[in-house]
Amino acid sequence: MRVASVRPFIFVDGNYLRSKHAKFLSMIYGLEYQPSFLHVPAIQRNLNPFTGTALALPEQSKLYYYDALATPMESDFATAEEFSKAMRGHQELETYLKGVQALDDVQLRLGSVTVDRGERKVRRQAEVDVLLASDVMTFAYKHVISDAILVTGDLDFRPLVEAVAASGIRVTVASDKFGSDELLDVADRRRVMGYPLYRALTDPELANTLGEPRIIEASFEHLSPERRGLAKRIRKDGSEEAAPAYEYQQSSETIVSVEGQTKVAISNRASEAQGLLHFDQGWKITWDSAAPPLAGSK
Amino acid sequence: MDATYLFIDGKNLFERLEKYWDEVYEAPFYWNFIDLEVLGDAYGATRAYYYLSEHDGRECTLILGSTQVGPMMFPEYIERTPKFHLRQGTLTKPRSPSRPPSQKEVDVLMTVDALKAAYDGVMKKAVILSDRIDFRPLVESLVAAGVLVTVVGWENRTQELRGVADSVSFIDDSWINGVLEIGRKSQYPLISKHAVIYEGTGISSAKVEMPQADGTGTSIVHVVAEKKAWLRKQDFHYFISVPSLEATYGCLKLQPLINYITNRLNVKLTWSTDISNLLDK
Repeated sequence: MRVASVRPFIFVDGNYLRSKHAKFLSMIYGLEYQPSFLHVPAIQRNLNPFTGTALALPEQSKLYYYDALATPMESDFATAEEFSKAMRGHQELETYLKGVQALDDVQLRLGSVTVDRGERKVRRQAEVDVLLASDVMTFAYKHVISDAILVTGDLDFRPLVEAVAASGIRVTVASDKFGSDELLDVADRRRVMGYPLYRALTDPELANTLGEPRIIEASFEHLSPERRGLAKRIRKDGSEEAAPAYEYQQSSETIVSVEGQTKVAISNRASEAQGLLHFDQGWKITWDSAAPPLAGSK
Repeated sequence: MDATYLFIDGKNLFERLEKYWDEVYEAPFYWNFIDLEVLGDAYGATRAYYYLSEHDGRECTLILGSTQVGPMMFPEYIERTPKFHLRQGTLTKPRSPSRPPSQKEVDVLMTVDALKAAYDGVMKKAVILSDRIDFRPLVESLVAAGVLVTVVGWENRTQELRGVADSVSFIDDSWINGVLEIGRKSQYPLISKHAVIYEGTGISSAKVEMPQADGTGTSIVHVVAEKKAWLRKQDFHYFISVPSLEATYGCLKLQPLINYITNRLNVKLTWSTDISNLLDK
């Protein structure tokens, strides 16, 4: 029997990573997603979920990237405009995936796309999950790896994580804050992909134009709020949580806080602070527009 | 004996049979219509894994005519059947309300089970009862690991898997009848295709319209519905010859036969005489 090497292999559920990055861009910056916004070389450089932030990967590690590429069919779209938009998206994704493939120590593994004919046609990625599971199982049983890092938050992979972890391999699952608990429960180690990682994965040219909101632990109740509103979020069990929300000004920065919470978002752009609180903490805020401006507001 | 493992994608099988029942028998299909022991034996399975999502198979209590074990749920029946193992995944919440709940966890579970058995060296042959393309990477990995892989599915749906599997086996009308629980066999009689066209006098004749391949109208062919014992196969009381398909289809009951020809063969039947007296029987 071969002795397993200690280098970790990273398995990236591409669709998951792309959709979370898209969520990050749209929630905080209000940007409509384009594949080119995900900076390809940064994936390799930064996707070390051991820290969740920018850090070079250990030498000799390999990254397996799973995704699927569907050519849009004209018949699936109501208008020519929608179709050409989908075509553009398709071409961008193709360019992006070629970029992934061109990276050193990265293997691009593509599934296919299939159409489920139900009440209406639903296009979905096929094979990708089974391909990822099959690769990880093969590496594990052939003693190629002793350490596997899975970048996904999808509950679907629980049987894989369970089986591979039980076989003696150390499995780390890296997912965003809202990843499936049932999946994380069976992993050996859990890493949260937070705001700093998504920012590091963003195309540098684009990132330069964006503000840098941050979450800090603080209380600003000594200031008088500029705006009041209602913050709502959905707990993992599906129940809803609501609390009053406040916006404060301090020098050039805007602070957004939710009553009873120790974490606040701060930024020199108000919308980005609010977006980050939504992205990171799950709080969606509606400002009370009917109320007259509070004393001291500009 | 070489160990043969049977992997059944329960949801896929159910969906296909449900559609068949709707089209042919105009009746709902229930999980308990299948005799699992017969199904396992059909492939010489030394072990069978039946994959179901959390809530599947709980909509009816089954009473099996053949085994007399009393009422139970389908998942329990799987567990009680020798050689069979129930493998369940939790149903993933759909990402948006318009999408059906996915059952991918079951896909990964089957992949993990199959590869584990292959790499542990305990499985020499694998029979995968699913026609979903999702399993292509699994079939490829199993073949690469030296396992003989057979994929079982409907003929028109297994195209993509045919290339990667060692062999394919098709689900057809006699397959369906073959795995039916014995008590259901008379209730849902076999539709059988015979290449022979029976030359006889019809009780009722029908005009058949078949759309031409080039889309230029229809061709008219003659159909005979007979109520008569089949010469060699005593269990067929009715049969319909469709000369243009070069086939005769036989069945114990007339209505399923008509439904079959209309829906599954996509042939439009227009009866030239009243056939209601035949249908009542």
